[in-house]
Amino acid sequence: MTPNSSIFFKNAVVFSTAFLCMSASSLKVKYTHGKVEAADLELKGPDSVSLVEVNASIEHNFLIATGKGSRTELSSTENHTTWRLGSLSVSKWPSLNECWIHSGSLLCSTKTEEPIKISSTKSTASFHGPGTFIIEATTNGGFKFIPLESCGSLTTTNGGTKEVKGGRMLLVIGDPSNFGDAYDIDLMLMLKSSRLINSFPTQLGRHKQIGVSVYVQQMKIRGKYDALIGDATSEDNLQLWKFNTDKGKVRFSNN
Amino acid sequence: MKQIYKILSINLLLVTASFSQNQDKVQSRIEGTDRTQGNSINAQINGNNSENNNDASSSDTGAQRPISLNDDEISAFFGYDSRYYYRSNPLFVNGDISEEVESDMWTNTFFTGISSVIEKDDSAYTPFLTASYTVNDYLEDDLGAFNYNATNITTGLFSYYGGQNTYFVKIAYNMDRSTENDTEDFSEFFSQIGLISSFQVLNKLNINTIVGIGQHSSTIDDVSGTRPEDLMDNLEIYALSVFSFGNDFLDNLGLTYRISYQSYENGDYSDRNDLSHSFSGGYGFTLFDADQPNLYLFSSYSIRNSDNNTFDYDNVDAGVGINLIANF
Repeated sequence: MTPNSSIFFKNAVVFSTAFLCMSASSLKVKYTHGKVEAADLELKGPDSVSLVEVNASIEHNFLIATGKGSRTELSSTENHTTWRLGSLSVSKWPSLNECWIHSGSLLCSTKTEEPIKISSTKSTASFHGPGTFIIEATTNGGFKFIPLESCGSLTTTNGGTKEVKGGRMLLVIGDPSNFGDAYDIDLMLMLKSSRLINSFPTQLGRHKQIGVSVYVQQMKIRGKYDALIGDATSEDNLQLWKFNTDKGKVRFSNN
Repeated sequence: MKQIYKILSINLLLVTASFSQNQDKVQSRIEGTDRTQGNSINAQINGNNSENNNDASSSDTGAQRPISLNDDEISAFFGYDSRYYYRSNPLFVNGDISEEVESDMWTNTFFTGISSVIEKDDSAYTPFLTASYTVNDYLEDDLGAFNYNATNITTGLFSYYGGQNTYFVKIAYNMDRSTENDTEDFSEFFSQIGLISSFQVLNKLNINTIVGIGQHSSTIDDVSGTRPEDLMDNLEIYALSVFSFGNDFLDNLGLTYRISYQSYENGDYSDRNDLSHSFSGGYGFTLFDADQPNLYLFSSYSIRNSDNNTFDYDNVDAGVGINLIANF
């Protein structure tokens, strides 16, 4: 090997490694549907906004917004995490293990045990996985944390740490953050009706664990309320939509 | 005196003949009896898949319906089931008798069970124990001698590893006791393995299928040594499909098809092979603002084809039932 070719070879190795490191440390777009835009927060004017395309890298200064009926899936091979952003949602990822949501909903499925920080316009919590969960921003500035499966925990500043259990929704409210009420919700119904699960072409990496979580819940289920949970409009108020009620009360049934 | 002995002898002969005839009929009835092998847990697993696809949420999150869970380590249930129905062939016999003898039946079942769920990262296990006691009464006077009480105790384990299949291993003890004679007509241990698989077809039709294989190790009266006690031992392979519909009206409709192949091993039955089919349907009604349907109409048609035509039969059941169950 000549000296010139040796230098060329070393440079190639160094730059390839650097390129691989750079690409691995950012989120990659795996799927888009409809109109998904990225706004570069370090730029101003029309040039700051661009369409998100498959295989694009999502940098820490990008704000991702989806239109009505639009969705996107991002993933990182470095921390084995998949993110799905739902319709009419606005979110950004300051780092691989950190997500901020302004509005809408997103899903996270991760194999990492490193903490993942989730924040909204007002509240913050830290998830220790692995697990799969859905985040839905609420009007009160907090968010719903809905684990589909997990053996991890969720920590807030004032609420301490709570064990995460598949199907047990936790409300994260306030600043400094605390836990609101917890509700067991019907995982089977959620799986069938969630577009964050059903409107993407590929299965989630932890779909087996989700299946086990549904099975366990079905074995323990005692009954269902004839109601659906809606938005948390304030720290004390959670909307509950009744259906099939005879006497104006939420009916409990095994249907 | 001789006259008395003669009468007694004739009576004894008649009783013996009648007993022998009854033994055959009892055996025939036993062979035709459809035994539920602790299927309450199966029903729990399968019935839950007929969930309404209630797409009520406008966000991509999905519908969030609050539920109540049993947080105890062990779940328990007990209940009562009563059925009044017509049976076209109460003794499950072949030929003319089946056309002549028919009966209404009344069965009353008391059942209970416990189960637990052991959750691992990517699997879940459900050990269970169930028991039932059924009083079977033929309402046709001539058949009163065949009334019997059936006991079932089943224990086993369901295991789930994600995906569509649930695997099971279980062993059931079944015993029939004659009400009239207070004798044990039949008992068996039925050990089996199998899987339960769920499919969804055309978005609204759910099909749950159970496939199993098991060995019946049985004991019957040897009738003074004229037949082996294990005459009815057999290897059974079966498949059962339950069809349910995701529709408000049809949600309470259940259709079931079962096919079974049995190969016998002992005595005169050593070359006997049976193929049985049954089709059944039921529709449930909810009374008194109950949490689940507790009154139901049902009917079933069952047929057995054996390579020995003596054992062929067909039968129709149709009637009404009431079911009360409490979960803990």
